[in-house]
Formats: sequence, C-alpha cells, structure tokens
Amino acid sequence: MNLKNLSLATALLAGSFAATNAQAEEPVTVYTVTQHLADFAERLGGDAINVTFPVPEGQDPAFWRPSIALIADYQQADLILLNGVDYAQWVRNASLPRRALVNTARGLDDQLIRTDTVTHSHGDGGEHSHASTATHLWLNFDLATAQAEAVFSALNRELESDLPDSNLDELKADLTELNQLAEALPRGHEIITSHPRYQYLADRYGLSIRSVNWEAGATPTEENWAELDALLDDQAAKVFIWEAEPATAGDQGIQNRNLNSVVFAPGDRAGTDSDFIELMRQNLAALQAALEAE
Amino acid sequence: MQSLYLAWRYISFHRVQSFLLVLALALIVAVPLVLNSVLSATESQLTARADATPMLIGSRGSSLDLTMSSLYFSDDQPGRITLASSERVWDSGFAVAIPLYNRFRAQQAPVIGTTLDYFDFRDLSLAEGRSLAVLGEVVLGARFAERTGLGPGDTVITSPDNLFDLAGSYPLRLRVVGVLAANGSPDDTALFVDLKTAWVIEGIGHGHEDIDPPTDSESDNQVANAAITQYREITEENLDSFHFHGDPESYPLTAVIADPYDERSATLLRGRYLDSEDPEQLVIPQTVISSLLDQLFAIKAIFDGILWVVATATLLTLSLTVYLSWQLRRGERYTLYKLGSHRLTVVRLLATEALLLIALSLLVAAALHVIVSPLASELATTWMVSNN
Repeated sequence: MNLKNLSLATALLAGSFAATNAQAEEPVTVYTVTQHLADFAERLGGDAINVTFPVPEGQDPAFWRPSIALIADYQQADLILLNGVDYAQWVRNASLPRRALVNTARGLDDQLIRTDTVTHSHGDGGEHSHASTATHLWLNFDLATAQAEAVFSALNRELESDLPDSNLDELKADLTELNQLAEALPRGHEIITSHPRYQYLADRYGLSIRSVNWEAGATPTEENWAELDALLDDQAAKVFIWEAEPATAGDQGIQNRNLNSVVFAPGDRAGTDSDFIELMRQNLAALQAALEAE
Repeated sequence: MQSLYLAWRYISFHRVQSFLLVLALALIVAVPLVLNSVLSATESQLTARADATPMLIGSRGSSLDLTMSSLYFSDDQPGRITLASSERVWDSGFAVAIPLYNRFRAQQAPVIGTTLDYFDFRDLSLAEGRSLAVLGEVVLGARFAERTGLGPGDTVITSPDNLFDLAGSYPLRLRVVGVLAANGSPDDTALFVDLKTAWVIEGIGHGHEDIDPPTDSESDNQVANAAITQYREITEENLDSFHFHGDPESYPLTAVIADPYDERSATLLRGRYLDSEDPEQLVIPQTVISSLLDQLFAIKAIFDGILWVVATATLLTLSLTVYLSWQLRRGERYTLYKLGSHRLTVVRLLATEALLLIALSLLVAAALHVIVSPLASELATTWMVSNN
C-alpha cells in the first residue's frame, strides 16, 4: 500500500469514527404536554436531550388538540412526558408508543384531589358516575418534586448513562425553596380564582380558595360578574387570582369589588419569559403581597 | 429410438390403462412428498413466529390457547387479564411489554387491539398510508387489504358480538389509514387498531353529547339525559367527547408480549411468575409450539406407517397388473419374435414402456407436489391455528 492509499484509508477510518460518535451522541428527543415538564426536563437533561413543547402560545395545553402531523412527531419521540391525571385530554384519544410514555403522576394516586362527579347513562345501562381529578398537581411543590424525580429517572433510563445527581438535587432544592415560600403565605384570607386550577395549592398550603370559571385573558361577561358576586355574597374575599394577565376591564371590575388582584400563572402554558421556578417565585411573591395588602 | 417410438405408440393407444397406471404410481410418490412439505412448512411457519416472540403473559389456563390467540390470532379465547399486567412488566424494568386484545372480528378477520410498540417489535412497515394516530383508525394487514380491496380512506365495520345480545358490543365503523407491507405472517391477515379503539368497541370507552350544567340545586352532580347518543363511528367532530370509565389498569387484555432486554432480565422476569397462586402465567411460545409439533410428528409417524402399508399394497397390485398384462401380451411377443425381432429387443421394448410410464408418473408427482404443497401448507397452518 503506498502512502497516498494509506492516508486515504486513515481519513476514511477517522471519518467513520466521527460518524459513529456523532450517532452515539445524538440527543434524546423529549416531547412534553406542559411547559413545567419541559422546564424540568431541560434542567435535568441539559445538552443530552432536545426538549419540545409544541403547544402554541395562548393555547391551554389541557384542552389543545394536536394535528395528525404533530401526533406523528410525538410518536417519533424517545420520551413523552405526561402530567397524568387525564391532563392534556388529547392523549387519551391518541395512539402513542407505550415505550416512550412517562406518566409523571404514577404512584401519586393517594395524594390526588378528586373533583366534580359527572353522572350519566348509556342506553339501558343505568346511570353511573365518574369522578374527575384535579390536574394541576405541580402546584403542590412536593408533588412537583415527585414529578421531577420521575422525569430524572426516565431520562437516565433512556440515556443509558447516569446524569449528574446534582441536576436533580439542585432542582429539588429550588422546589423546596418554593415549598417554604408557599408555606409562609398568610393564612385565614379568602381567595377567589378565575379558574378552578389551584386545588393543590390550597390543599397543601392551607389556603381557602374558591373559584369562578372564567376564560383566561377574556373580558368577563355580565354572567361572569354575577357568578363572582354570588360567591362574594356568600362569603367576602380578599384576593382574586387570575391565571393570566387580565383584560383592563376585568381588572377594574375586581378592584371595584375591593379585591386585591394578582396574576398566578400555573406554569403549564408556553410563552412565559421565566422558567418554572422563577415563575413560581414571582407568583408566590405577588400572592404574598396581595394577601398582606390592606 | 425405435423402441421409444413403439413404446410411446403403445402407451398412446392404451391411453386409459396407461393414465390409470401413471396416476396410481404418481399418487404413491406424491402423497408422502406433499405430506412432508406440508409438515415442514407448517413447522417452519409456526416455529418462526414462536421464535420471534420471546415470552407471553396471560391468564393462568391453557398455554396453547394463549399462544395460538396471541401469535396466530386464532379464535381461541384465553382468559382475560388487564392492562395492569402490562404495567407490571414495564414496572419490573426487565422487558418491553406489548399488550394484545384479540376479541373482535371484521369481515372474518381478527381485529387486534395493541399499541404502536407492536409494529416496531414485529418490524412491520407501511406499504400505504400512515400509522394509527387517533381513536377509530385501523391499519390493515396486506392480505386482508388485497382480499377486500380496501385501502386508506375506506372504512370497515367490526362484526357485532352477538346478534341477539343487545347489551353486547356495538359494531364500530373504523377508518382505514394505512396498509402494512406483507411479511408472510398472521399479521398479513389481521386488522390493527389502537388498544383504546378496541376498548371503545368493547363499550368501555364511549362518546356522547355535552352534558348540561347542573340543574339540581340540591346536589353538585350533573345529571344527563338517559337518551344520550351512542356513537358508532369516531369522527373528527365527536373525537373529543370520547372518554373511558374506571381505572385504565382494569381494562381487559388477552395477552402481553414481553420482550426482555437481555438474558438476565428474561430469567428474572420468569422468576416473577413462578408462584402457582399467581392468576397470571408466563409462557415461552417456543416451548409451547415445540410441544405441539412433537404431538404432530408423533401423529405423522403413525401416518407414515399406514402410508407404507398402503403403498406396498398398491405396488403389489400394480405388479400383479403388470404381470397379467405381460401374460395377456404373450401373443404380441410371439408375433414380434416371428417378425424377426431378437428376444432381447422384445424385452427392451417392454422395459422402455415401463420406464416411460415411470417417468410420466414422476412428472405428475412433481407437478402435484409443486401445485398442492403450498396450498396444503396454508390450509394445514390455518387448520392447526383454528383447531388448537
């Protein structure tokens, strides 16, 4: 073999090694159904993974329905992080590979909150009921920690290597800090929320929360105001929580009723500037201020 | 050459006798050949599928029913297990678990409820269309599609459970979204739906009209009209109204295919199903099919013995026929001799006739073997699957 052939063979061999390494280092593809799970995955997996949360800004991920092409993208993912408890309703009617599914609420059944019951019948089958479960479990930061652990474990399994434990430890430390902030919120004040999404926050941190059922960001209608007034007639409240920035008229209407208006974004939607931890810090600080205000 | 010509003329002249002789000889040769081919084809088809399926988990009971239903989609109905059985395998961390629900039929073909993992596991690719995406969709096996002429965009309706059971499962109209490439296995003759679609056919999942807000001031419960519409087709418009009752892990399956990650995982997983009190069993399809084939070959040995006796009797009868024919043709031989033919020439002429008959018989036997074996193999495999 002459020198030219030898250098060609060496170059080919080097190229082949480089291709193999590139293939081995190809990031794991992760799709999620909420922004908070996407944030967890990004913090835990770092550069080893590619995280996609395809729900467009302004859409509620719980009720969004993907196109067939997007479902195909989900099907191609290495991991699909689910919130469980029937959040992201499209999942229950979609075909997704079980090997990729990670139900981050698995094993948390005894800590979930049951909500309204729907009763109906089918043909001669007689009436029957099915209870629903409150879905925003990550607003109890203990449960958010359990979800983070589930994500970490799934990523480790998929990557077939050990991610640094410090990734999980740091996230858990941040969630512990959120727990402390939430536990420090003043108790004994009535809170009304624009949507029934805060059951876990109320339950875990001893807050008294009731809800109306308003569309996020929309100007409340006469019917909406009547619903709120009925709640206030029943029992006065101090704070009104919006899940998204309210319309001016809406905010004005709240202030006219002597309620302290505060935005507490649940963290499941796309489009926030901060990551989950920072968003919750801002939420809790704003809520604390509203509860302490005169 | 002259002997060949004369022999051929003789056979042509006595065509009925010659035909019967050729047929009798051909059958003696062809029957054992076809039988061997059929058995070996059946064996290889059954074994290939069993070899490609490391483990099956199902209800404790007949391991043969479980294997036949899960591998060959036979009509056997093994006891039900639940989705929890599949989750048990996933939770063990030893294997990939692929649930199967083989209960429904459409146009005499099995409708298999499973997850997308099944297609990866069996290495099934699409020849047309796309994969399953939402409830109500179906992907067809290649031969089913060929037989029915159905393809993407068409619909197929599942068969009702029982015409006289009004509370039984309602037929569901399925939208065909894809056709699988043929792979020469039972997958070619089946239809595949998502497990959740199978549960909709079962009646566990269903859709209905929107429920009105509460009207009962005494209670928070929402009460819906008993005349809620039952959907029999899942469309884009009603898809979101479909929901399921109860704990998903209690929903039925007929089997779970377990594909262990390695040898150690396989051993550890098997260890988890050793308790005879466990309502679930783990079977190795290879062992089940091997035991079935052992029985089959025991029957074949008896059959071979009978065949030898019949073949010997037939050959003796044919020998008698040839001898009698030889005697009857004494005058013919004498005439040839008188015409100046050598005794050996006469013997060569008769030998050529015999050789021609034997050659024709072998040709017919070979043709029978080529034509009948594939058909018989298919019939035999189908029979084996549906009768075990």
